[in-house]
Amino acid sequence: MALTAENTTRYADANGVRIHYHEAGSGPPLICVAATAFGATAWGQNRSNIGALSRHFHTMLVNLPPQGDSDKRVTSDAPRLDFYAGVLCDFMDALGIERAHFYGGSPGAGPVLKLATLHPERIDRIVVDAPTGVGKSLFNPMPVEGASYTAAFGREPTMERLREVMDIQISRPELREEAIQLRYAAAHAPGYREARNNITGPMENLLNFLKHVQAPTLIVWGAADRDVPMDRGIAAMWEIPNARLHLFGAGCGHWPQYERADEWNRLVIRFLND
Amino acid sequence: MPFTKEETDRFATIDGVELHYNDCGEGPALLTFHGGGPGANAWDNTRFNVDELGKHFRVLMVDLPGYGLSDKTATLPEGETVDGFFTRLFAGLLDHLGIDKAHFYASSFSGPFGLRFGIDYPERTGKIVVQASYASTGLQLMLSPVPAEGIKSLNEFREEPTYERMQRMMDYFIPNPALRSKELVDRRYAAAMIPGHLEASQRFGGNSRMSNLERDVARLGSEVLLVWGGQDWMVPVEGALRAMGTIPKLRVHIWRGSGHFVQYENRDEFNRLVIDFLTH
Repeated sequence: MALTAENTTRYADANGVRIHYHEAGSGPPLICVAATAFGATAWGQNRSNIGALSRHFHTMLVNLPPQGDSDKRVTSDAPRLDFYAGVLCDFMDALGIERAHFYGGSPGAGPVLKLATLHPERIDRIVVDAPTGVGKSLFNPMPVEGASYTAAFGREPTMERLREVMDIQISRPELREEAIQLRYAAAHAPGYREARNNITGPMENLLNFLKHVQAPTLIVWGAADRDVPMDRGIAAMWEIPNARLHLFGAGCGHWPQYERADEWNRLVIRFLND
Repeated sequence: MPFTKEETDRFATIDGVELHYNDCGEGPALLTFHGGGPGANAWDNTRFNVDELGKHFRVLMVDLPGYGLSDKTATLPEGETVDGFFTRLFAGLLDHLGIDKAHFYASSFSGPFGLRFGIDYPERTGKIVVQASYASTGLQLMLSPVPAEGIKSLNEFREEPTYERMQRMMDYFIPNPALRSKELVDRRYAAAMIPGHLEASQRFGGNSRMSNLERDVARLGSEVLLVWGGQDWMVPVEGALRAMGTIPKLRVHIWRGSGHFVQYENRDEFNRLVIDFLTH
C-alpha cells in the first residue's frame, strides 16, 4: 500500500500538547522534525523520503506546534529551541521511545541539535539539511534572497509570494508545484497563522552550542542554496566534533532531501546504519 | 581471503612504458591511483579498501610512471601534457585488458588524471571518485596559505630523504595519532627509496606541463564524488569549494576529523559511500 499523508497520520499527546505526525515502518526509531517555517509541514518536507526510510526505520515525521495539524493553543515565550527540544522529549515519552535517530531540515535542525546538547542520552545519530541559525554567511550578501521572500510571504500569504519563495528554494522547476500546493494549504489552515504568534521565545544562534553535540552528525547541503548559504555548513562542521558534511552540487537548492531524493535516501540510510 | 599484493601483482607495457598494477576482484572495472608524494603507490593507497571494493569491482590499482613498481625511466614525450600522456597510458591499459569502460578513483595528485580521462574518453568512463583534489592546474586557493604545512614537510623529505623526515611527513598525512603506525611509515619509506623513484616522480610534477583542466572540466559528463578530510594538511579542504564551482555533476563528502587519507582514516564509511555511488 502506498504511503499517503492520510494513511500515515497519527496524533500523540505530548504532555498536553497535541502532536500531529506521520508514522511508517519498523526498526530503530527515526524522528524527522519538520521545519517551523511559515506553512512548512512534515509531510511536505519528507514525503519523498518516508518510503525508503520506513524500510529500515520506525519513521516518524513530526510537526512541531503549531505546524501541520499540531496544537494551535500552546503558548511559549521560552527560548525557542529549548521549547521545541522539550516538546520532542515529551513526544518521545508519549510514545515510549527512549532513544532515536533524528533528522531536522532547515529550521527543523535547530531543535534537534539543541536536544542533542540537553539530552544526549536520547539521541543516536543526527542528520540535518541546511540548518538555519548558524550565523551569517561569509560570502553572501545578507539577508539572503530566501529570507527576504520568506518574510514577504509571512506578511502577505498569497500564492504569488509563495511562488517567489519556492522558486528560489527548489532549483528544479518541475519539482515546485506540488510543494507549493502543500505549503499554501498548510499556511491557510484554520487558526494556523494566529497560532504562530503564540510561540514568541527568542531564537538562539546555533554556534553557541554546536560544539557540545556529541552524536555522530551528517550535515547535508545543496551548493545552490539561496535560502541558507552553504558556507554555514562548513562553519557547522567545524563546531560539531563528530561531523561529516555532504554537499550536493549541480544546482541543488535548499531541499536536498527532495531535489536529490534517491541519493539522499541512500546516503542517510547508510549513515544511520553505520 | 584477503587480497595480497604478491598474488595480484601484474605488469603491462603500454606504448613502451611498463606499468605495474594489482588486479583484484571481479565485476565492472575500477581503476585506482595514488597521490604524488614521495613513496606513494597504488597498493599502499588503497590496500585497506580493496577487500571490500573487490567484492563489487575488478579493482585495478595502477602505479603511475615513476611510482611504485612502474617504469622509472619514462619521460614526458615531446609536445604532450602530463595528463594527456598518463590518460593515453590508461586507455592503452584498458585496451590491453580488453576493458571497454571503467570507473575511476583518483586521489590527490592523480585527481586531474581521472577527470582528464573522463573528458577525453567519455564513452570509456563510468563514474569518478576524486579524493582531496580539484580540477586545478594552477587555480590558486584564496583562503588557505600555500604551500600547505604538510607540503613543506614533503618538500623537506625530497631535499633530504631520511626516515625521520618521512615520519614527520606521515604525521601531516594522518593527523590522528591513533591511526598512525610504524608499519605505515616503514612501507612508505621503503617505497620512497625504490631506486629512481624520487627523480622520476619529479619529472611529472608541477603544473606547467598540464593542460587547462579547469576550463575543460565543464565538458565532463561523468558523475563525480569528491571526498575530503577537513583536517587535510596537504591539500586544504577549500579545494572542495573550488571543485564545486568547476566540476558539473558533483557531490562532495567531507569528514571533519580526517586528514589526507580519508580512504584509510574513514575506511568503512568511505567504502560504503564509494560502493553506493558507483553502483547506482
